[in-house]
Amino acid sequence: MNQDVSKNQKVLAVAGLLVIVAAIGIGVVLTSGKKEEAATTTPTAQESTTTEPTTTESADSEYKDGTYSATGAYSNPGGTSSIEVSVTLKNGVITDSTTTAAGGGTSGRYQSQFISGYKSEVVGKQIDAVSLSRVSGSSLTSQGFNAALAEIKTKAKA
Amino acid sequence: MPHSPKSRPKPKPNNWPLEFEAIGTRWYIQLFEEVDDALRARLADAINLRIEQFDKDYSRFREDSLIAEMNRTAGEYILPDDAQPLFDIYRELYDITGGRMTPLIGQTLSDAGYDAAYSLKPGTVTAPPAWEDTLVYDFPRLTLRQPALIDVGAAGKGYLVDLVAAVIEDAGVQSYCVDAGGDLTYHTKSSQPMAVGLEHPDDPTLVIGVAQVINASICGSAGNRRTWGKYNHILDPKQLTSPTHIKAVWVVTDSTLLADALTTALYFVPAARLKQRYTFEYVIVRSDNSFEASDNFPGEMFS
Repeated sequence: MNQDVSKNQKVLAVAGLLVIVAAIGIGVVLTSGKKEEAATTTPTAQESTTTEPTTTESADSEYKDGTYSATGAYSNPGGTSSIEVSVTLKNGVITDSTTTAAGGGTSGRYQSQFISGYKSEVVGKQIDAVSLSRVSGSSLTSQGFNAALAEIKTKAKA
Repeated sequence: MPHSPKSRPKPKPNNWPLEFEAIGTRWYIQLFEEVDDALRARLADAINLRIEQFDKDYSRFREDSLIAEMNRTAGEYILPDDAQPLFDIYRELYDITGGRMTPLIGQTLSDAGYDAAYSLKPGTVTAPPAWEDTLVYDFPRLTLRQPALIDVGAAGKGYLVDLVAAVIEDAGVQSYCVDAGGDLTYHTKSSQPMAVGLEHPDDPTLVIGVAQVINASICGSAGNRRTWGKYNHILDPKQLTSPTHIKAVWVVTDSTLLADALTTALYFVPAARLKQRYTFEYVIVRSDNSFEASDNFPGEMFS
């Protein structure tokens, strides 16, 4: 059992680091258009640590159910940063994952961009398709304000 | 006349649910229990009076308000009895946001175009004065060291919702909803929450989530409606621009005053900083449509 667990740890550690390195690559690409340039070299992964999974037996899967975490440390022009990835496995399928940024400064900003991209984007549903009593958003405007908006748009076209 | 033409108030209603315009937005007030016609009529009058009093005290859009007088004449003023919670929250959030949320934003907003006449014509915009240089606040006294245009719009609407709710409660009615343009409080003796759609900041025909609100308040803030040229009504006094990193914010908490105030504060400081001081749930939608919701936000987001 110890051998299985350590094999799982190594496989996931590598997978986690690949995710991290790919993500950093993506982060660099996404921000390369901005004026403040930062890392132009791909950071190298130095080491990782993993935690013991909280496990339950799962006969069908090569990997035991549980939550596995890997923390990757990498060097970049700002120094050394780390980022933690956790995945939860059930029957060999990832059912949840989280990413935690541990960097600050420039690194923290890229990590936040990666994490915010990694997280979900909002999707709209038609108001009529949802059972609602009220709707909340930016404050509804008065007729006076609407008239003012219409006026400046008219002036802008003239 | 005290009101500029475009901001003149509309006739007061007394058909329920009450629907009317006041303080620059559209109100919707419902009662969810049996209330006889006579009491409904008295309530409609009491609510109208309460709103009118608030407008006369705090509006920067009329020449006969206390705010307008403070913008003409320096000196010591005695604030209205209801001013303390409002000015207290501004004092706290001014400190927490490092001055980014300030009641002294009125002149800057006005110069950007959001003036009493709704000209929406951007002029030369300058940073507001610091609180310490301009105001001495020791309720009930507010001293203006120099004339200044105060704007309490970032929390005032939410506060007025609470004040109107208090009028309803004083009449013995406990199940009601007071909605001022999407900032609302819902109270009930039942256990049934109210489903409040979260409007997509880019498309008002869509919602991006639903909050379940019961015996609580929800406020939303976004820049999409009150926007002209490069500005919207949320102005960062340090940058003298409207923030672009956040598209929409919602806060759910006990009072509409606090919910309203925090929706603005969340444009300027991280939620974690505000959570050190206040108890609330929130959703923030960023410019790239990603979102961040607090752990116990009551409801679901569509993603």
